[in-house]
Amino acid sequence: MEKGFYASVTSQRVLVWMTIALGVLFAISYMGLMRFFPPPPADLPADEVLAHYSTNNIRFRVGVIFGLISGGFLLPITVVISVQMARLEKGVPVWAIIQALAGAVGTIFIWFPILIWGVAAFTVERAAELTLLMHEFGWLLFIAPLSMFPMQLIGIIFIAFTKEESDAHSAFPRWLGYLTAWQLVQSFGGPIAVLFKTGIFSWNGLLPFWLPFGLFSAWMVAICYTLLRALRHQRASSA
Amino acid sequence: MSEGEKAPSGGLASGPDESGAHVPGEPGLWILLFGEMSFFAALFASFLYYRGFDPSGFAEAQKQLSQTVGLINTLLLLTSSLFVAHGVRAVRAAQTSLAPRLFVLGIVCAIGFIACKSFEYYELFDHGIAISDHTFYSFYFGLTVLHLGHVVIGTILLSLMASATRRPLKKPTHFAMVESGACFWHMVDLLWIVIFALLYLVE
Repeated sequence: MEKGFYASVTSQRVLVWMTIALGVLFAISYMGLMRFFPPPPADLPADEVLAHYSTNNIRFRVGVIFGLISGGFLLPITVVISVQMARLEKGVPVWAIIQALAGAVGTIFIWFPILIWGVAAFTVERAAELTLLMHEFGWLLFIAPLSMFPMQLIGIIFIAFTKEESDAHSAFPRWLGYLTAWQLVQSFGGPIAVLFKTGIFSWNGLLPFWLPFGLFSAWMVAICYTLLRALRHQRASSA
Repeated sequence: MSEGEKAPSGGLASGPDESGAHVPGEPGLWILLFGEMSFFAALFASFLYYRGFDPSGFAEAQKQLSQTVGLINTLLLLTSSLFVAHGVRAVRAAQTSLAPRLFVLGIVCAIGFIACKSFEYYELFDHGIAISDHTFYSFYFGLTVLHLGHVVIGTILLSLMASATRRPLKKPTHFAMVESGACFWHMVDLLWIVIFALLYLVE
């Protein structure tokens, strides 16, 4: 392996920890301040939706501020994943490139809905139906867009199954490939939320929310672990 | 070297090892398969839970579905699974002309399934049935669309398998990948059988 890669091990570790720190901040603002966990039912009447924004309005808006600060938490780890993928690819690292691009664009669907909800909370004196509109816009923007996500995952799966490195030290062991494949298959539940207002297929249901949420959390823990393990190994073998 | 890179003994036969145990595909695959199956099991359980509130309404809504189309689809997937199982056997015996053909036959059945399902959706919409009409239809459309997504992914996997097995496989890990694809396909088949029983047959 080229020597150049080892030079940036420390920087890569900093980026992974940046994602972990920002992710925790995001979870605090989304769950604790905006109180969108568990998600409000998709068929909530307009006046009850308005009440979510108008009671504790300042707390909600502070949540929006921290959400906007931390909403890019996926970007640092996206870069590290791509660098680690590029290490294992031969020639132009196409999978690493598409992973990075898809991750960069996909980040929008995390911070942009926060801003939409921020607009809903900004003026609570307006008609309840208008708040409902922004509320639904924000939620569907948060849950439904799938377009970028599979492109990010498919390269990781490909690398996990084709790499020549041993599983023990790799950032992409084969089991992570299968975990990622499961996540990819289940992520198709997101867009289905557009069709349903109640039940397990609505945006607060098992399929579009709980399963992707659970799998994404497990996947983040797994990839942070394998990345840090791989970086530790790379630093040790370069010393 | 990882476990998978042991020198192949006697072609690609990835048969039972010393302990007599053979995990189809590889152990990691079962993260995906058990995960998928437990997720679908949760969906089936919630279907039965909701059905408990309104058994007569569910039975009434069920009458709109054609058991014949459901049965044809079941037979198509079962046949396709049979072709794929024989395909894996052919790959193991290094029959490079037979194996891809069997996988292609499996794909033909899968495309038949997708066509039947589309026809069924078209018929239902033609009768003016909407997803929001009844909880039964929410489950019907939700489950079958989700399953159809799995069929499409499985068909893509079968195409990759058909193209990869035209030449002898070089490594045991490649054989494990073929076996993994086949396992995924059998799971898609298995899930359909449960969906067929729950949505079309339960009275």
